[in-house]
Amino acid sequence: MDQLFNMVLMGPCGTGKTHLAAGLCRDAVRAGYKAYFRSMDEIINTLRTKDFVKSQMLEYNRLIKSNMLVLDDIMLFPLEKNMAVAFFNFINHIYESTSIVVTTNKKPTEWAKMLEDEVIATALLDRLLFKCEVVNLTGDSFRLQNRQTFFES
Amino acid sequence: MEIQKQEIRQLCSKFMLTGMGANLEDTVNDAEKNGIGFMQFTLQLLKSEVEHRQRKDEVKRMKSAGLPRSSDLAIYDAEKKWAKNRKTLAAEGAQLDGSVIQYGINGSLRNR
Repeated sequence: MDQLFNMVLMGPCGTGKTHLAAGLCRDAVRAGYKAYFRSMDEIINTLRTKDFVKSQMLEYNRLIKSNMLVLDDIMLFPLEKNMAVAFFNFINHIYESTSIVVTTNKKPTEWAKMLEDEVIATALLDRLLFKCEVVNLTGDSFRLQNRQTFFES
Repeated sequence: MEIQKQEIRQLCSKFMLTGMGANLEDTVNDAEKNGIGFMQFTLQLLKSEVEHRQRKDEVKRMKSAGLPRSSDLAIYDAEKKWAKNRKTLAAEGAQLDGSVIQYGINGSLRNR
């Protein structure tokens, strides 16, 4: 974190990406850092409303001053063009001062589709992968493996 | 003695030294029992305030971190198969638009 390394946790659903990212975030908080765990939806909501809602502006200011930011499930759903630009600007603003941990189940090739812009997707990856460890998690979903049923035999 | 302690607690509260005020009883008892000097006593009081503030700060940061319920790495199944493949990812990234990466538009020090 002190060297501002990023981390990309990739893999299918249920392989423990979110758990691992949340654990890293918790350890960072315990170590005295300002670390935040936010879903992509929360980040987009903050970016969309920060200019109109005071609490979201406070949240935005909190995030840009963070030591570590976990972005959970990024690129899970498509982004509007203006939001893709806002998201890129946000990452561009923080990547030199914040360690970014990303969890995703989409390959980089699919990021362009979600952002509807290859140039933004490439530029975003460029920022994230500059100083980055990529961890690819494999295996079956722990949720499906431990699927619970109503009807116990 | 009790009146003095009460007054100290009030002053601690006034100066927002809540940790010191809360630990006053224990620190005074410890000092009386072990016969420690003024220097050591003052140090213990200040340390208790620092520890209290650090705990409070951690609780505050933990709350604003917005962590999900399962966030303890102690219960994380580390036996999962990991594969570090930065090269693979970079290769996939290059597939996005070969020309964009090949010509080095991003990260080609344009901003510098």
